[in-house]
Amino acid sequence: MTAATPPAPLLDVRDLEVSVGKTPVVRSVSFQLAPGERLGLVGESGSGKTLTALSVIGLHRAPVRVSGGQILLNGTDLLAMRRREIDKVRGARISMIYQDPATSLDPLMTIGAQITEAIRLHEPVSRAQARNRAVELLGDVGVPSPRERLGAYPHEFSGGMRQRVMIAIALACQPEVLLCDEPTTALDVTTQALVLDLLDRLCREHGVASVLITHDLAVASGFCDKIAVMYAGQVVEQAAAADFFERPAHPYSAALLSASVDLAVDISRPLPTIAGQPPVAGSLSAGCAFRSRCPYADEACAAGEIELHSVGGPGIGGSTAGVAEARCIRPLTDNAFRGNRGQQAARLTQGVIDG
Amino acid sequence: MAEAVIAATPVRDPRRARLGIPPVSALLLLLIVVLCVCAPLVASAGPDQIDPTHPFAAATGQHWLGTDEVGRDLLSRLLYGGRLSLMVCAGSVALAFVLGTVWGVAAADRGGWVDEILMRGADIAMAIPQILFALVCVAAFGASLLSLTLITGILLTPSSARMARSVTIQETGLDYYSAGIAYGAGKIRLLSTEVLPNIFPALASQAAINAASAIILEASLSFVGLGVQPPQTSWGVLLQQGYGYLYNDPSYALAPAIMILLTILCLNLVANRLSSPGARRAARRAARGGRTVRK
Amino acid sequence: MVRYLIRRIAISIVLLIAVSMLIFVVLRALPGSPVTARLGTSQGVTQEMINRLTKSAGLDRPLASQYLTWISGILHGNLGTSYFTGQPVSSLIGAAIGPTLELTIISVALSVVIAVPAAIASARRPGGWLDGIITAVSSAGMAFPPFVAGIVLIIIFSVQVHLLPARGYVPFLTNPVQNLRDMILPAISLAVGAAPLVLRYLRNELVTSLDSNYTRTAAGKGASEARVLLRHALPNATLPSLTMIGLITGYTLGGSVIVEYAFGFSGLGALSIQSAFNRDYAILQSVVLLISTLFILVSLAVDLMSWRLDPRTRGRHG
Repeated sequence: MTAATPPAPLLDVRDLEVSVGKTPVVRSVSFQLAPGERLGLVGESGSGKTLTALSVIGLHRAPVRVSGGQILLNGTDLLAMRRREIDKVRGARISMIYQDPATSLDPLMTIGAQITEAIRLHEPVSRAQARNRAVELLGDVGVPSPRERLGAYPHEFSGGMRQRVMIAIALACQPEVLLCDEPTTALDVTTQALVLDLLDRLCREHGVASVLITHDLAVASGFCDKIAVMYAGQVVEQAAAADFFERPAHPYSAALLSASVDLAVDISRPLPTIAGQPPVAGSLSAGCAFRSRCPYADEACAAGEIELHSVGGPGIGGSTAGVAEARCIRPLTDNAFRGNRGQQAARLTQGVIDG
Repeated sequence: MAEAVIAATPVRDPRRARLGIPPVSALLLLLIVVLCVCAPLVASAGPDQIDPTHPFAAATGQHWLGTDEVGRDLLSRLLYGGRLSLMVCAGSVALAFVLGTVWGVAAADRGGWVDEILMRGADIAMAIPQILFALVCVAAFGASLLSLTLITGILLTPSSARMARSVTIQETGLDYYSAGIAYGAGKIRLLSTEVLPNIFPALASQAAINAASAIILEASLSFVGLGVQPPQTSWGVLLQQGYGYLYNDPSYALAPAIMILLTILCLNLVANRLSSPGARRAARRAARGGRTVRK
Repeated sequence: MVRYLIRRIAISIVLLIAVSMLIFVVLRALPGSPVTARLGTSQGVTQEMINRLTKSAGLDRPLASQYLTWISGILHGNLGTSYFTGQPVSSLIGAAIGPTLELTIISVALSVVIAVPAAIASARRPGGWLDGIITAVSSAGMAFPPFVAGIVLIIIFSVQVHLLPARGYVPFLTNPVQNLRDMILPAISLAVGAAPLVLRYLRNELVTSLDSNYTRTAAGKGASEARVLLRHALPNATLPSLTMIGLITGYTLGGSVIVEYAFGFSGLGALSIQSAFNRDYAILQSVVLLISTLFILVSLAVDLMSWRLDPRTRGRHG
């Protein structure tokens, strides 16, 4: 990850380790984000995506704690900050959008009060100015008749509208980084597309760098510049989005891709699934965490800790997404004899379904 | 995976729990009960044995807590008094347990207007502050030991009924119950062999709370002279008598006060234990013994 | 909206009527009039005297008619007269209600004033040492029946250090300072048991609220720890905890009966004990009904208040 890094990443997460009590659940996660860049953090539920994002903004709660690493925002380590200093960063420079809009808004406060709170916490504006800004923001996120809706309470909004309000709150102070934790998962399918389009547009307009957490590769493919795949608390592959979807390097990535729904596929066949369960935190032994589910695994995979290393030439993405990296001693990209991606994927899922 | 780790809340003292040692509160409660029940064996003198030459004696080897205004041994009066207090308590709690369980389970099982009537009845009874209702009952029925026990028991019944009803509704809402009914199991049998053991910890917890209330009611009524009547002795009676001599001998009133406090504290703690999820699971296992556990 | 209001008020009225019937029926459940019960054992009482008293108290008429007389009397502000002294019940109650109301209000207020900061301190670090201490102290407090707490306080503050009066009540208007001094120990006696009830409930609600997604959102906006706690968690935790105010009012009204006796207050509690002693049902039934009514009204007020304060139940735009 050192070779093609541009001079100053906006957000630089280095060797982040997050633990629940004494059990590490996120291990040596590193990624970088240039201004305006979009990273997709993908993986199954429980792979540590959400905990990673929450600890970046410091919103994890006991017994979860950050047990190692650095989180640099423009070169300043957020982990070394006092609570008062972090309060100035949250909402102003890093914002977050959460998975469940139904419970993420204060039920006793009007929408207007919740948006103006976000503004007035960081900017010395009057109540009236803040209100006007809130109206603008609500209009921007597509809430109809925004001025009237300021006095409404969250329960009077639909799920999609609540998530729009959450986006308005997150963008209220023009942050540099936006963390989106499964922003559309709780919404119905048509609303999902609308909210995603909105996020896409607003991020572009405001030049916000973003981290999109999702288990849905289709969502990530449309939104992100680069992809980081998490498995059992580790990043197992990181690559430019275009490269990743074309040539996944890690067997887990390949399996994930082939298990995602493809409308072109014959629907009479059962959907491919990845057999087995992800390992439980704390029960990990040395070696590749995916080996028990991997059809290519042998003794060598259990030998020792595998580092994230470069797997192939410079990619076709931009900025920091230069080199594809994977935590695998036999990345699929290196072995020409394994055939093309389709066959690989077929073999992978086939094998595990039969097994 | 984080959720899984977080969900596993630690047991306060796993070692004790594994060894099956009851909590301190339960042991202390047992000690109080045993001491009172075995008062004749423990006490150095009879509770009514007067010694006019030694009124308000300080604590000595012979009278551990000293003596009262006519030289009776305070410790033995305390223990004998405890017998009566605990007797009223036990009797009324048992009465409330039986009546309340029948009342609550019937309401939950019948549902509809029967439930409505039974539960509104409980609401009405509970709208009158307990001690005032007790005064009304004592005025109407007198203050004999028997009527005191009955009155207290009946006063505690509505809260037992509410608890029994809510846990029964919870339990019969579970799949195993409707499945049992669907398979043709008798309702009475299901209720008595499956539901009752499962709701027992909740009922026992309520009974412990009721026991604390019963101790308070007895002490309150006896304290104002409308409960246990001297020369019979209870903790409430001792409080009343000690209250008259606060300036001569504060420990006279303090001793029964401390007994009452300790008993209530232990009962509250036991009730907390019983209503905690861990205790519920344990009791369920114990109640079901080796039989197949539903899932 | 209006329907909820009407329904809730109607329930309270029905409850009140049912309570009055219950009191009335229980007092007359046993055959024999209170007059015989009271005077029957005394010496020098003639049958003629009993008859006269029975008749004058209206106790020779059928139950339903007696009940209706009582209720219609209440509605006309006439509570009847004491069976024995002949004094009007309303003036007896009028003289006794002051100390009881004052004691109840002060105790409930004191309980809340103790409970809220303690709950906040406790909820900030659930499982921490401060939480542990507060929980332990509140467990101990809950074990104190109010009058036992009163006796212990008298022993400490009146007998040992002669700081505060053990008995007596002076009306506030006569001597405000003395009145408040008289109130301190009884109010604390009641709050010792009542405050932990509010404290525990509020603490648990606060912990839930501080663990919720909306407080995380607030922290994510950059709100300080104090602001998250006071501006977001506290209102959300307080709303459901309001019901506890109704509950401790009932607890305090009941507890004050014996506490008044212990501190020599001539309030409603002392009056009800006195009339229970004398089997003066005319007084007892009205006092008990009055105190129950206060309890029911406070519960109603609290319910309506939480309904009004919660935007989810109050309906669109309040």
